[in-house]
Amino acid sequence: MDFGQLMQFVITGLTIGSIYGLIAIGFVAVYNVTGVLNFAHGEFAMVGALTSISLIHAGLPLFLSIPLAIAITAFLGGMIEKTTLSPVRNASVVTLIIITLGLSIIIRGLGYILWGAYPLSMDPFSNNEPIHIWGAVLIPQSMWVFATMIVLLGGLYVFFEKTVFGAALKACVVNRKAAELMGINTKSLSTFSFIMSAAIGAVAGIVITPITSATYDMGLFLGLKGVVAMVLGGMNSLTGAVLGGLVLGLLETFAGGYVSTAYSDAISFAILILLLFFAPNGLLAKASGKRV
Amino acid sequence: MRKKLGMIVILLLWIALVGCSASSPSNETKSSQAKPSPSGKAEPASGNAGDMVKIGVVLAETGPASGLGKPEIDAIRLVKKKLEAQGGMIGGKKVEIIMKDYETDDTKAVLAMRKLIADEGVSVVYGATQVSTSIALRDIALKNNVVFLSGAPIGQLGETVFQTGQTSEVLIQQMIDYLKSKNIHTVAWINARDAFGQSGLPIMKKLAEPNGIEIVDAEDFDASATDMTVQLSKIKAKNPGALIVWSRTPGAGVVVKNFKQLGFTIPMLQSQAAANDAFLKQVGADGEGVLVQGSKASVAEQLPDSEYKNRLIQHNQEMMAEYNYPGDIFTTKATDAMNIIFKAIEAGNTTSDQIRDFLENQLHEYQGLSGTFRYTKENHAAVDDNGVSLLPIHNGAWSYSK
Repeated sequence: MDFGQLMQFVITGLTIGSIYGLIAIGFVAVYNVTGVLNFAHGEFAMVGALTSISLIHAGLPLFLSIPLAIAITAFLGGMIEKTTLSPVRNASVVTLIIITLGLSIIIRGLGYILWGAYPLSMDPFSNNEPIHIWGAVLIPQSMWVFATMIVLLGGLYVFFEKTVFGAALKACVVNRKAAELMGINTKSLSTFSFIMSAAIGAVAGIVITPITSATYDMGLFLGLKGVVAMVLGGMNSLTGAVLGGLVLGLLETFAGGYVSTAYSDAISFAILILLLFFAPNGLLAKASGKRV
Repeated sequence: MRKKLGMIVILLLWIALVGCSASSPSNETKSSQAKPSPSGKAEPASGNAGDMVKIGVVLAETGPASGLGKPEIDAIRLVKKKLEAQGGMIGGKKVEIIMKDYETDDTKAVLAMRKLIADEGVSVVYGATQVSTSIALRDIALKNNVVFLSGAPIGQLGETVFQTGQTSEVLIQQMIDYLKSKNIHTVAWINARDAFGQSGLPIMKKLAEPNGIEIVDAEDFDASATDMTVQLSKIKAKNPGALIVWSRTPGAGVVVKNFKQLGFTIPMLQSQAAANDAFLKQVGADGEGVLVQGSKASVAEQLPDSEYKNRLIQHNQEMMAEYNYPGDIFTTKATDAMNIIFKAIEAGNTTSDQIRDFLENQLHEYQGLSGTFRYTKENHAAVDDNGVSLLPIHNGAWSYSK
């Protein structure tokens, strides 16, 4: 087996894996606060990516259009939570999840109306000369994706574990009643978690677009793989989500490279099912009494 | 625990949902073949045989295949507009074009086709942007004895089924001729795992050997995948003389990007499914030098002077005026389909049987925008390759070299 090819598979696997990980982080962030799997998360990535492309086409420089697109998406996330989830916040978690599922379909439809069906591309953030490592090729944008993922992971970790506000957010999902009794405004925190999720989604969508191009229906694919990465990592762990994403990416690439690209999805899903049989709480399961 | 269980059930439902919607456009759709309606077959509505002829159109105006379906339906709208401007009459018959968008969903296409036949009583249907859909519609057409002009290459036709646009054999032969002219004898192949993507390789395998071309590697990818580096690394190790890509956008464009990143220097040949604006926009500067099998309409201005060139330029101008983009392989194909139906009606043919008979015996040699049609009773797919060419992308636009 050729070593350069092996290296290429590792690099491709890590690139795809960090895309999945980036999306999975956003899922975990909302899940940790509201206990809801936000199925519209992939759509936030789509909105962020396509908005920034539109802004760039409108003549704004890259460094301005990216924060602006993130802000717009975050605002949209907040508005959506206020208008759709907030009014029914006492409904069961399953109802809330189904609402997010509906939201994802609506946002995708709006995306189609606004941006059309054609894939749009964005220039890479930095020089796009591929870097050669031991016979394999690394695209600089892959490093941007990887770095963004690490920075987000670190930032969110500090936020959830080291700040009072973050702790308050986590308290909401452990016991909403108790959190309210402790003086935490659970209502506004749920809105905040959606703003955060939308912003994280937008960041992810924007940073991966130079690699994948952006279409109105990209959220579907990203969301699916992101959820799988999240489940692999144990639903509520940020580090687990990142690891889950990387493992999934590597699995797919190696299955595609050494077995057959026709079965790479089947193989990775089969492994996922096996994993859930034997380690139902994911890779980084904490044996905690958190869930009842 | 119950909460988690509920969530996992929803998760599974969602995966099923995503799976269905992602795979439905690419299914071979054996399951959605026309089941006979209670009365045996859909009875055409009465009142069609007289002075009224209805033409059905079933295309993917929206959904993932809309990059291809939108130009087709726009071109037909233009034809319809011109028809209505002259009173909607051809050869003394009132002609009505009824358009249906099947949203890149085979099931919706089948329903639309059945409705067109049963409720509207159409004599002829043009349709389907995708291969899988066209196959499903073909079976309904055959069962109901309605003339069906397939816009997609579906191989097996039938008594009442014709194909507009070149067959894959004709198109792949053109690619092989190009390779031979450049003295290239080894080739790698990559296609999307959908009905169109999978339709090419068997034909390539059949044609390669007698032409002295060796296929050194054949790979495929999921139609919605965003990275083909793995497949291209495998291809690179085999060191082929050229790469043929058989996929629609966005997959076709992703291959171009990864191809560039991996530092390939061999020629890349792309199929007609990539011959649209969406592809040009997606690949940007990475597309320089890529050869795409496209309509000569895309390079009309660069063609040598001829009557054909003038007609293409006129078509482009009309498209520009109406929709702000020029003609391409899809607009020309759809326009030709309408025009040959009009020719049949003009000659006094209104029923399915009459139109079929006209196409087989009286169309003879029809010079369309997409090529020369030579339908006969034996060959329902005879369209010459003179309307298409391998167009190199130069400075983000199509160019012509011959």
